[in-house]
Amino acid sequence: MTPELLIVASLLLPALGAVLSLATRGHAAPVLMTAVLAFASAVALVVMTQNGMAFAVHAGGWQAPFGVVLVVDGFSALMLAVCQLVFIASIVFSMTTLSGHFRRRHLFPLLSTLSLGASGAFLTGDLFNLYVWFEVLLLSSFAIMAIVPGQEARSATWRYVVINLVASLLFLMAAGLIYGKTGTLNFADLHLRFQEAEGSFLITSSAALLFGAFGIKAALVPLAFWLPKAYPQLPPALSALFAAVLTKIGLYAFYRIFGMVFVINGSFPHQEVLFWLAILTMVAGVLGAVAQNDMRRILSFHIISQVGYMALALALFSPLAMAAGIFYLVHHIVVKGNLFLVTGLVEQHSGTSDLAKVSGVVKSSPVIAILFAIPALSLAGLPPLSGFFAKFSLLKASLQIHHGIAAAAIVLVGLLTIFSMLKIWVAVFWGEANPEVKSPPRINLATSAIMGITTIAIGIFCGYFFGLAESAANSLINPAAYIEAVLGTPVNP
Amino acid sequence: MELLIAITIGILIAAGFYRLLGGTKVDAIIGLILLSQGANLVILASGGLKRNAAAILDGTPVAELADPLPQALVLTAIVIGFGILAFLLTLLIRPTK
Repeated sequence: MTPELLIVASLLLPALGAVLSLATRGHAAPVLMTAVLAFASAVALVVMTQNGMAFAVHAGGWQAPFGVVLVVDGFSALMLAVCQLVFIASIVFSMTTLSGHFRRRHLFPLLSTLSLGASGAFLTGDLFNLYVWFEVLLLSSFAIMAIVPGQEARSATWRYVVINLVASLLFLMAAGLIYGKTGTLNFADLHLRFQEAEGSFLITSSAALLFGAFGIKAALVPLAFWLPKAYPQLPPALSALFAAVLTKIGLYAFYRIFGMVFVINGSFPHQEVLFWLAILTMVAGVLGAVAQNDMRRILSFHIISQVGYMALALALFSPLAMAAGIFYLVHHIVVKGNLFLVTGLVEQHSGTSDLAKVSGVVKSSPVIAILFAIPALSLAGLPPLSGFFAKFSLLKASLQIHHGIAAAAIVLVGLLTIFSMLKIWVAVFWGEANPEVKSPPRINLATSAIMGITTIAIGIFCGYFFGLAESAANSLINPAAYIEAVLGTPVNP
Repeated sequence: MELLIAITIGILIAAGFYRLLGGTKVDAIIGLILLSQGANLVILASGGLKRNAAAILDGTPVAELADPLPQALVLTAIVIGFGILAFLLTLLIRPTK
C-alpha cells in the first residue's frame, strides 16, 4: 500500500460506508466495517509519517497550488487514527443503546458522513476545501442533533446550528480576503508567501476572522456557551463522538493554520489574545463544571476547560509546548470519548446520570467503577495515566520559557478538575447501592475497556507516543517536508 | 465599482447581524441569508472586479482576464448556503409531535 492510496482510502471508506448503509436502509454493519478499515489505514499512515515524512495527492493531476491537494503529515495522521478509534466506539454504543427512532432517521449513514467530513478536514491542504469539509461535518452533526427528541433538545439544536453557521460565514469571508490578498489558498503556498512578504499586515485582519470562526468551533471561552447547552442533550453514545471529535477539529484547524501557515519569524498573529483566552477558557470551564450536578453537564464543561489547555500549548508555541499540545489532543480525544461512554454505562445501569439520583455503583457494578476511574484520573492528570504526561510536559514547557501565569493556571485548573471528578465519584459510586439496576451489554463494557486500555497504554508507552507528538509538532514548526510534498520542489529551511 | 461592492457588503453584514439578534427563528434565518450573501460578495470581490472580461484563455493578455477562481468558489459557497437554508427551513417548520 502506498501512502497516496491510503490517503484516498481514508476519504473513500467513510463515503462508501454512508452509501452502503443508505442502500441497506440505514444498517450499521457497513458503517462499522468501513470505520475499522479506515482506522487501519490511518494507523498505517501514522507509521509511515512518524519519521517526519509528508505525502500528498494532487487530485485530478492538477499541480499545486492550482489544484486541490490532499496532504498527510504526522499531525494529520495521528488525528485521523485517534478520531477513527472514538468513531468505532461510538458506532458500537449506538448499535446497542439507541432505539429505532434514531435508526429510522438514518443515524448510521449520518455518522459515516460525519467521519468523512472529519477525515477531509484533517487531510486537506487548501483553505477553501477546509471550509467545505467543515460544512460536510457540520451538516451531518446538525442532522444528528435534529434527530434527538424533546423540546429542550430542539432549542439546543437551533442554537448549535445558528452559532456554527455564523462561524462558517466568518471562515468563508476570511478565505475570500486571504485569496484577495495573496492570490492563493494552498496552505504550503500561503506559508511561503507570508515569509516572502515579511509583513503580518497581510494576515492580521483575516486571521482575526479565522480566530473567531475556529474559536466558536473549538469552544474558546467567550465563544463557548453553545456547548454546555447542546452536548448534554445528546445520548452518551453520540455525545462521546461530538465531545471527542468536533471541538478537536476546531483545535486542529487552530494548530494547522495559526501554528503552521500563519507563522512568520517564530510567532503568529493574535498569539497574545489566544494565550489569555486559553487561560480564561481553562478557568471558566472548570468553574462551570464544579457548579453542575449531572454527569453529562459536568463532562461538557470539562471539554471547555480542556480545550483551554490545548489552546494554551499552541499560544506558548515552543517546540516542547507544541509537542505537549499534540500529545494532549491525542490523550484527550480518547479520554473524553471514554468518559461519555462510561456516562452511558451508568445511565444503562441506573437509568439516569443525575448525581442526586444515582448512588452506590461501586457496589452494584465494580466494573463500571473501574472503567470510570481510568479516564477520570487520567483527565485529572494522575500518573501513570496519559493525562499526567500531557499536563506534566505542558507544565515543563511553560516553566522552560518562564511563563509563571501559564504554569499556575495549569496546576490550579488541574486541582479543580480532580475536585469535580471526585464529586462524580462520591455521588455516583459511593453510598447505598440502588436495588433496581440493570447490567449494560457486555460489548459496551468491552468497548469502554478498550478505550481505557488505550489510555493506560498511552501512559505506559509514553515515550513512543510522545515521540510521535514531537515529530508531528516538528512537522508544523518546520514544514519543509510538507511544502515539498505539496509543491514538489525542495525548499530551503 | 470596488467601493460600491464594499459598501454593499458592509450594509448586508450589518443588516444580517442586526436581524440575527432579533430573537425569533425567522429573524435568525433572514439574518443568516443576508450574512451569507455578504460573504459571497466578499469572495467575488476578492479576485478584483473587471467589466466585460471573461475567464477564457483566447489570446487576450492574462492581465485583462477575469480571475476564474473566485467565481468557482462563490458558486460552491452559494450551493452550500442554499443547502443549509433548506435545512434551516425544515428545522423551522417541522411539527412539534
